[in-house]
Amino acid sequence: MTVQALDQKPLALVIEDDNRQATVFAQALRMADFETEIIQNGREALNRLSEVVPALVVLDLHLPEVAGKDIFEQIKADERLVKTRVMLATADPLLAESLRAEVNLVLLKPISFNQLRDLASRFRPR
Amino acid sequence: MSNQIQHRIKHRHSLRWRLLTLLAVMLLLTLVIIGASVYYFILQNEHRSWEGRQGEAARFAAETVAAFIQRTQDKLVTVSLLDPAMLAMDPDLLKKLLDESPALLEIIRLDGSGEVLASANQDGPLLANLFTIPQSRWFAESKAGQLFLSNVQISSNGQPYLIISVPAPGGGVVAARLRMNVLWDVVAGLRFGESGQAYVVNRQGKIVGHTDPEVVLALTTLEGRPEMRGVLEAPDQKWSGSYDNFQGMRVIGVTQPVYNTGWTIVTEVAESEAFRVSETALLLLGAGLIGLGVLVMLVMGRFLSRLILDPMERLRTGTVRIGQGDLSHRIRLNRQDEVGQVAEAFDEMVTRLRDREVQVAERTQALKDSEERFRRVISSISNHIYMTEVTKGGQRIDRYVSPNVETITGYPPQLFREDPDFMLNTVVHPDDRDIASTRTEYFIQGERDDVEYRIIRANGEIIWVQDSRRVEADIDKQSLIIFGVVGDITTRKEAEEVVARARDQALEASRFKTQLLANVSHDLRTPIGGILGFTEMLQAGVYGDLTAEQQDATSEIVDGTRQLLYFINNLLNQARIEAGKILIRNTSFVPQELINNAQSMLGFLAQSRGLQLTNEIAPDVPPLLEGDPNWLDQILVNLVSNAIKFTEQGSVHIHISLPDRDHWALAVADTGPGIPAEAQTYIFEAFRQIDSTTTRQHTTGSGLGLSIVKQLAVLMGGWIDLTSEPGEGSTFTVVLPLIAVKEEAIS
Repeated sequence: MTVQALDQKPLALVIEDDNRQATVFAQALRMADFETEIIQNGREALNRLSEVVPALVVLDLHLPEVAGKDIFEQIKADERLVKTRVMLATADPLLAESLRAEVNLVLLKPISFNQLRDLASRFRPR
Repeated sequence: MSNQIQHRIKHRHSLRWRLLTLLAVMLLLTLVIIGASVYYFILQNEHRSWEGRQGEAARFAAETVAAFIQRTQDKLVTVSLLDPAMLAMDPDLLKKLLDESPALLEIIRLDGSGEVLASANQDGPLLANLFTIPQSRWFAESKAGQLFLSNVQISSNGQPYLIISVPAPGGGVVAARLRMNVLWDVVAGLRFGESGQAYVVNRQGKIVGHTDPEVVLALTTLEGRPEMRGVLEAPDQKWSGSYDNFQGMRVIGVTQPVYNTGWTIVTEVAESEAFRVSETALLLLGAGLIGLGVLVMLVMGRFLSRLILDPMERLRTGTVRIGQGDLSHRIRLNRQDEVGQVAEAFDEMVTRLRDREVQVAERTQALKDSEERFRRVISSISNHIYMTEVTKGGQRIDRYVSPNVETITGYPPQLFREDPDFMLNTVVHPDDRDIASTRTEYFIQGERDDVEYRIIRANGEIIWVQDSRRVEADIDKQSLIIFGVVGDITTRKEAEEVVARARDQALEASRFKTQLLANVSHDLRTPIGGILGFTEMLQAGVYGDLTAEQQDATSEIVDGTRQLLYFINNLLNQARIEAGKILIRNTSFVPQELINNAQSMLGFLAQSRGLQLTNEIAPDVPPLLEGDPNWLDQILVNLVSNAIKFTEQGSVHIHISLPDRDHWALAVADTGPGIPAEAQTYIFEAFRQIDSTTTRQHTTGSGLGLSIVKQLAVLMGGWIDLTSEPGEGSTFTVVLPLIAVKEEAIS
């Protein structure tokens, strides 16, 4: 575990299997002043989440190996991650609609770079 | 029954015979009584008449005899009174007296000792010569003062006589011989009828005078005979009676005492003669009565025949004929009496019977016709019809099994008739027996129960049948009657299966399409996300600052990408609507935000086309409305996109208002070319646009936008209106129900 310096940026995990989207998301989050990591696999995501406490997770619901929804449930169940904010990304409007009540933000793909950047800056811990 | 009637009634049992016998007996009895009475009356009358006549004759004879005897006595008394001396001196005196009295044969005067003082005679002395005078009875009696009449005696010359003696003064006696002829003449003079006879009997029962002198001369005595009993017991009394007389003849006899003589006159007449009239009368009467009886019997017989027996016979034969089936026969007696009424009633009955017969025949014919029709119908249709009775105890009885059962099952109908469970236990497919069995307890009276099941035909073929059955309760028998029609529906069933398979395939295809569309749109969106993101990053200067031209280029990329995204969204939404996967989730929203969303999404596009995008919210619209913002966004974006696409110049105006108390309206008006009336109906159909030839310059559209709007409006409980004039622009108005905003949403 790395010791966070006082001036260290908050960590944001981008869990997204599509390369391009992941790059865009990561860029938007960096521009919102987050330290970002891209994870393209559900299992890896779970592993990583057991090691770090991110301030923000941008989670694609369509992931290989472990479904995004399971990861989301895991985050909610983990007491360490109580303060972790989750942004869900999906191309399925119905799914998005059904999850809106449980999650901080549901983004319907395609997600605008500018929109994500603006939203993410609001989720920065103070 | 008719055979018994046909036999003639045995003679002695016939009514005619019995009635006539009864009548004859009664008539005979009556006639016999009448005849006997009449005969007895006549007999009595005749008896009395004869008695009267005999009595009269006897009395007359008695008087004559008495007078004769009296005269004779008187003469003798006269002689007795003469002086005997004088008599002796003058013998002619007595002789003279004798001559004057021809009845006297001899007369003598005796003294007390029996000495003859004087005598005279006509045929020789007889009494005078008697030596036994003092011992004679006549002498003794007369000497004692009695008149004496002796029995008849015969003189030596054959002359019958009797001795009469009277007392004379001085103890003397005058006696005389009296010629019987005179008495006999008197008796002989008593004539009545043919057989009538009279005779004189003295106290000893000796006949002293008779019509037939021989009788007297034979010294016939009647002593001891029944007819004499009365005479002898009471000589002075009259007597009459019927008896067999001494001659053996049945007679009516009447006796009459002769005064002062001790004699009795007996008159007799043979009954055969006496009752000749009666007998004749009896004969006549008998004959007459018998004749009358026969006549009455004949008349009565005829009368009976005419009145009762003939009609009875006609009734009988009529009944027999009718019984044999000749209903046209009528008795027709045309009489007003009871028999006539019976016949009339009978005729009426037969008429009614005939009417009934005709009715029955008609009904039978109708029934036959009906049955024939039924049979034809049955034979003309391929369905099998059955009727089964289920008794209270649950026993099944096949009431009717149509021949078509063989057509359908291949088994002969007898098998079904013999075993009511044959269909269920043998023919019906084992897997379908539960369905096929008639559970009568589930039946509601008169309701139909249609079931479909498989049967295994005699040749092993499996076919589908439909069994339409109906149950009716048989109240009388307390059982249920099941009427059923079984038809082969294999063809239909196969067709249905084909259709079902086709439908399943279609549904599968549709599901596949929907899924495909969803996948495609996801797969399309992901790269679009990349394009959009990187372009935005370029614009944001992530990869260094851009020149103005580069900036414009990236804007074009973003614009085109958004348009592409919009089409993809519409495609996806259409697919979701078709799959019924649209979920309307109402929540409160701010109307202005709805407009802002569209403005931010399409404002740049409008501007780039040189159009003004304006909006207005009517003042009476509440600050919060209830609805699904996602789909409302979709509707507004679609309408505005559509308006921008078809408008060359001018403006596109968004307007939110309340058209009435229960609705709110979202309207988008443009200044485009307008929509022709003929196009206004199909413009809302999916994948349709206004005739592509006239709108060739506006082919940038999938034709889904308006269709989706309309479908969403309907799903939200509203509708879409279109007002448009060619050249005047168009206004699309979506009218939606105004739902009350939840309380917490307002607070």
